[in-house]
Amino acid sequence: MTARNPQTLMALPNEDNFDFLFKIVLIGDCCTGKTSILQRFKTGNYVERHGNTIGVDFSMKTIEVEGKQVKLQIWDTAGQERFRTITQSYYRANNGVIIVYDITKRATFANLQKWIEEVRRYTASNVLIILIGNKCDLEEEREVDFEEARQMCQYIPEILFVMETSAKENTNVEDAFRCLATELKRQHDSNSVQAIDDNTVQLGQSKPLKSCSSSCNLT
Amino acid sequence: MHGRVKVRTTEEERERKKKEQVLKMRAYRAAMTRIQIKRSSGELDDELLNLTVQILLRNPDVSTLWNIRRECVLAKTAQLQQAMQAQEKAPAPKASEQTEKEEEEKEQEQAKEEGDGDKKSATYSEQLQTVYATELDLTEQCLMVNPKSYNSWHHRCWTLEQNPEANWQRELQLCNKYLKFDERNFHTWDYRRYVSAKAAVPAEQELDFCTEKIKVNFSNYSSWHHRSLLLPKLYPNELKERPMSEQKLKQELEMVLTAAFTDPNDSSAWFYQRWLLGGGVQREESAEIVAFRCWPHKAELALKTSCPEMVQLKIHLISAQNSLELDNWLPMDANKTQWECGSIDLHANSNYILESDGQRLPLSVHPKDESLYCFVPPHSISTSCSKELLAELQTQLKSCMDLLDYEPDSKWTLLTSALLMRAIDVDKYHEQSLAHLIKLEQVDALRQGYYQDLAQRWNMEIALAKWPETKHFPLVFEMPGKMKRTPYVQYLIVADAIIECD
Amino acid sequence: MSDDLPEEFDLIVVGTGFTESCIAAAASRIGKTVLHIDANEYYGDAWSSFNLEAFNCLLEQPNFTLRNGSYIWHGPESKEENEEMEIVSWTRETLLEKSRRFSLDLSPRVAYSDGELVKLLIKSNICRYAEFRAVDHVCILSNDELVSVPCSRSDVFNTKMLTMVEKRMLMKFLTACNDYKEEDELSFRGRTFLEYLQAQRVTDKIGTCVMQAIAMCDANTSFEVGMQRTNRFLGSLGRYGNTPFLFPMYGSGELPQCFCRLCAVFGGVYCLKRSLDGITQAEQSNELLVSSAGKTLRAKQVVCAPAQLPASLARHYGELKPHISRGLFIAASPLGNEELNKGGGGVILLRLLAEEGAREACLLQLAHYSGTCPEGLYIFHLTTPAISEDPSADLAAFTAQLFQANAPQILYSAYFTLTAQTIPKTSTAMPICCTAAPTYELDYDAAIANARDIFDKLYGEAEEFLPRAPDPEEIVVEGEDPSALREHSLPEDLRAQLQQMDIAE
Repeated sequence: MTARNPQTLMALPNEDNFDFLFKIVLIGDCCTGKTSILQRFKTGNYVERHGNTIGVDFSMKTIEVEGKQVKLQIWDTAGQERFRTITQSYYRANNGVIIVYDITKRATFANLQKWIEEVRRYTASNVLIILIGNKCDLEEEREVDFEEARQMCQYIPEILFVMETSAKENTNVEDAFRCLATELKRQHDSNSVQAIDDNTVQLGQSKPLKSCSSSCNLT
Repeated sequence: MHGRVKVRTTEEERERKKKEQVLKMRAYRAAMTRIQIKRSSGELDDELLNLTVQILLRNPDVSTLWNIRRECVLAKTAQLQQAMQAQEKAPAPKASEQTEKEEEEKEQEQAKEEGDGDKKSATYSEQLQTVYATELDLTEQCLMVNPKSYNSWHHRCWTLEQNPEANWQRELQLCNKYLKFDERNFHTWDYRRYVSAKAAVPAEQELDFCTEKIKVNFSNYSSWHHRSLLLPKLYPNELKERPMSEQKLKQELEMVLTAAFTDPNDSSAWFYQRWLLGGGVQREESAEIVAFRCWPHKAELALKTSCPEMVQLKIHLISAQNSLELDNWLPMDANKTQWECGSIDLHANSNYILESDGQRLPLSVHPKDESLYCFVPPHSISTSCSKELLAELQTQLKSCMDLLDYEPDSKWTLLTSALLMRAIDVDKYHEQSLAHLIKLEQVDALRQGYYQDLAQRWNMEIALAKWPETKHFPLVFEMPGKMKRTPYVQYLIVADAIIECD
Repeated sequence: MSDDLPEEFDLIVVGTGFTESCIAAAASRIGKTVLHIDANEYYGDAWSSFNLEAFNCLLEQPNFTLRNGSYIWHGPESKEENEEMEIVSWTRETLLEKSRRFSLDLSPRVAYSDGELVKLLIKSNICRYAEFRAVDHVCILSNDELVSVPCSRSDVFNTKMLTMVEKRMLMKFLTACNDYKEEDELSFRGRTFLEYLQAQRVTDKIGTCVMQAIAMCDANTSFEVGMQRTNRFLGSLGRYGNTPFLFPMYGSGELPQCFCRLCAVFGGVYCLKRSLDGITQAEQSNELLVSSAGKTLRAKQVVCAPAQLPASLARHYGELKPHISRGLFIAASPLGNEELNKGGGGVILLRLLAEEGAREACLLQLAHYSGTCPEGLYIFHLTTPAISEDPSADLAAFTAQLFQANAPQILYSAYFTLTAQTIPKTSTAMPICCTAAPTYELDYDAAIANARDIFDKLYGEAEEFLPRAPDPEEIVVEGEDPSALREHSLPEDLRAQLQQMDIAE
């Protein structure tokens, strides 16, 4: 579980502070509206058709949860869900997973089992999962009942909750992220005693040699 | 080109940053103005607290804002404490039993109030803790921004002092965490000493912690310093001639020399070693008399180190018949190491002893004018040490000499070996240790003056130590070479003539 | 599913091994349309990692990349079988139950903290997809015991292996190497590094540490090469951990995937379980017609891993020969003493020599902190250049040294051979570029050089190889004023403050 980044200790004043940093990944079938949901949450805007925004692979947003600044780093699939070629490394070191299906396409709901299987396979056991049924504005085209989704979740204990959203009409998008962030923070609070294995290294974050204590330097 | 990512140019980025900065400045100014207005009108409320957070998180070194926070916290806690006391004094009256149906509603209401009352008293103390917790959280976040922020550390201490239920263990963990990020942050070490005293952490445990930190990085003045405070307490030296018990000293010497050998250019280890090789610190707290001369109506006194407050020192001349207190001392030099007393009336022909603060010095008769005198040469002939310690010192000297064979110009090794020689046998190694100083003047020309001074001190020490055995003692003292500024000059009050050599 | 796959690409890359993934990412990054396919259903090809079950399947069914596979269970099959023994913690059953917690590398590597791989990952921003663990100890074998070579200043300070004066000698020697400039020490030009070491009056113990672990030399290594290697080691110290090496969390198989992710982020299209069936030159154009899964795709260029070439082309590239012999062991106890495996152990690197230095092998010991096995187990990866078709015979000289005294409790052992073509260089027979199979090296230098070469060949040296990928905040979304301030990027409290002011005004 990621707590504070030790490097922020060295951060210069004026930089944004945060108490927690959580990594969240979005998964789910192609065209369920993952990018729209993320875009809506991040910028508050909705873009009808995303002409595959090249080069963007995650978004950051800091929100306040129970008086703490919680920074969410939310990763998008980069189109690798299209032929089910999402890399294992995409799932590593996650704190939360958001699985998205399209309430107007039954197939995207039927495929959830496969996605859950993949999450089980590649993520740590304490990862929090939520389920989102997107496009709830298209009520007349609905193919999946909310009740059905709720019932399915009862059989999958890993799923925290299911929520229907509409990125287009801005229904529940913020709420979904907020609820997940709150749960992540609470989970972290209750595990605070648990020692963090801080021996993993993220490249590009090494301290500049000047400030690096000479313990590690031979000369 | 199609398919390539469009990235903001540096110009555009600068423009954007500028706009952002303008907005930030606006927000900052507005917040500052609002804070000042609220404070001058005495509105020490939550809003004011929140306003300061915005700014402090971005710049934790605005002292004014911390002061305002303290005012707010005090106001808030006073309120809560008052409310708590008021509640204790006037407990809600027990509802009398009423069975009538009309009264039922009333009863329920009362019961509800009562319940609320209980809840409130619980929440008052909880609220109080929340106030403190908020301050601690804020300082912690500010320390993330700047781990060396004096204001944040100070505010943290202040908050903890306010709270009788402060959780010191948690603070200790905070120190551990911060020292993991930066084991050389002396703010954290200072804070750790403060916290470990409050949390009554056993000194052994602190020493273990300190040892771990040194293992990670020995180039750390703070952790060596921390040791130097702990060891004399944990392993006191009974004779007070050394900083700690000889057994422990031996181990410490070994550890620090290993550090010094691993990196001879790291001065922190050498400094700690010098402290280890130095004499007992505790004893030098009181003034020590090194020379005294007394005529029937006048006395002169020399102290080892400067003593500005002579009044505190009670000095008596004691003979079989009577005891005479000498007071009204006047300084003879700027250093306040030489003192003069003009108001005595001494009966000669008695055997007097000089007594002061645990020191008892027998007096001799001066061959020149039959005045009484005593003389204690400087601490130069090595204080006796145990065989084990001596063996360790000799091993270390041997290692240093081996190292010098390999690196003849290593300045710290030269200096340390000279100090080791003096710790083993001043007399035997006098010439050799001086040779090291001469070599040091060459390899470390920047500190030439320091080495010359040191050489003069050592020369003077040995000359003074050997003086009582010469035939001219105490009439004539022969200076050991030319000196710019004579060290130990106060020792010479017993001499009548001083001969300068060429 | 493949219906909506575009039919035209600038580049088709076949095989998702490290080198191919590097090239795919680099091409995508400069705006080329890329299709990246692999005949396998997994990423990584000969650079991949597997869970225990999948790994066993792979050993049972040899393919072009891997052959001579075999595995043996050493522990009991299940608990019942061993009721008389009191502590049976690991059985074949329990290992297979935890199969998914394993990440078993075909080509395990470490990376110098300041080496080619790390520099490339940082420079390209691909580092955001990977996590590493600093290798905990670099060891030498001394009297059949693993001994940690002091790497850092604090190691030298704490080690009980060296005397005080030796500590100084080692520090001084390393400092001298670090300060070495080419114009210095002219007298050692053309002589061996060992001769230089001997001239520095160091003790035998220090000599062994330097030769075996730091400079990684043999008696014939030239002075210049030895110096270069020593400095590579020293230059990588003090960056992340106590040693100069990093190991990718969850195994080396993660790395190709990181490059693939970048390729996808910049628009690369991915298909697994899809092979290259044939290539022909299109008439009247320079394009290549690529047939794959019954479809014909057009590409300006094709890059292919040697083992994934269609049979019709493979013969141009010579025969597949044994290239690397690998051993993989799962044990319930680690090699080395408690001190080396503090807190459950981490990653240990050991270079082994045999036949008086004529042959060498590399051992990587991984504990669960590396994310490659369940807690309480240890993986030993042994790698040596192949000299025969029998990997266990090739490695016998090294396993004998390791598992002699204080042998760890081995539960499972496996051997296999990785192959390579006899002529790995690009042939002129077909206008496609072939990458090289994984070579015997500690780091990824050769693989990266290979990828860079092919990239330069395809796009010329004017195009930068994997320039820095911008952070999301730097990217201008279509139709957006690039210099406009994004209010939503301001922190929440500041925004609230500004809103209040606006209301007040």
